[in-house]
Amino acid sequence: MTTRSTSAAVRSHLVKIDSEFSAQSGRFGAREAFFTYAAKELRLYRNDRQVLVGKNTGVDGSAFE
Amino acid sequence: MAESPIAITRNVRASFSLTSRKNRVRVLRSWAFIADDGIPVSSRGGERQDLDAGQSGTRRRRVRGSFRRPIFAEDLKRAISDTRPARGFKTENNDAKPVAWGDYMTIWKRQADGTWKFVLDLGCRHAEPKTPAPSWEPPPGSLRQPLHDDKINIRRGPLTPSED
Repeated sequence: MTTRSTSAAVRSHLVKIDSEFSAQSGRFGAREAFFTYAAKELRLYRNDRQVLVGKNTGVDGSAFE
Repeated sequence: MAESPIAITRNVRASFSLTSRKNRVRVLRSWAFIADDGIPVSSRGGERQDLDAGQSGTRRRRVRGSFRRPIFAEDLKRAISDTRPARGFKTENNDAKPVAWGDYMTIWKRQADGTWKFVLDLGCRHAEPKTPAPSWEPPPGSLRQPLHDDKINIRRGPLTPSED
């Protein structure tokens, strides 16, 4: 398998993961989707707010208010 | 033909990286790439909010640190999913309607166990758009197979149907 096709496969898979994240966010709420798909070292940026660092901080923080 | 926002971002980031490497005082001149209200964040989460301070010794010492590297590191092995259009945002499952609207970009990183988790989520909230947001489409040529099957089509549908 060439590097190019490998890259395309990864990108294709990643697009599907991103779509699943969006769908879960719509069906079950953003907090639930974040809990499932966020990494432990998450950084969450929202306008007019300080950055939230860490999965627990991001999920429990005020970004969802 | 105008450059896409993603292309512009890549060019600016490359320029930032080049500027950082070329100067002995590594990141100091790259300060120009940060907005006046920008907040560099350390790898341990500590904010640096002294951007309006002069180039004092204190600032120089802070700049020499590696606190900005985690964000711009080339070895992060990240994949950037393109910006999604404005979407509704529900906080919990029982929210009947979106509680906020905005544009979002997510950076995903492959984990040690092979799964993908996102490490960075950028969101810029704004008022509800007057016209419905179009369904997000992947960039042309980014997929090995088109998203034809029913499961994927369901996933690509509106996040939250309008109940107006």
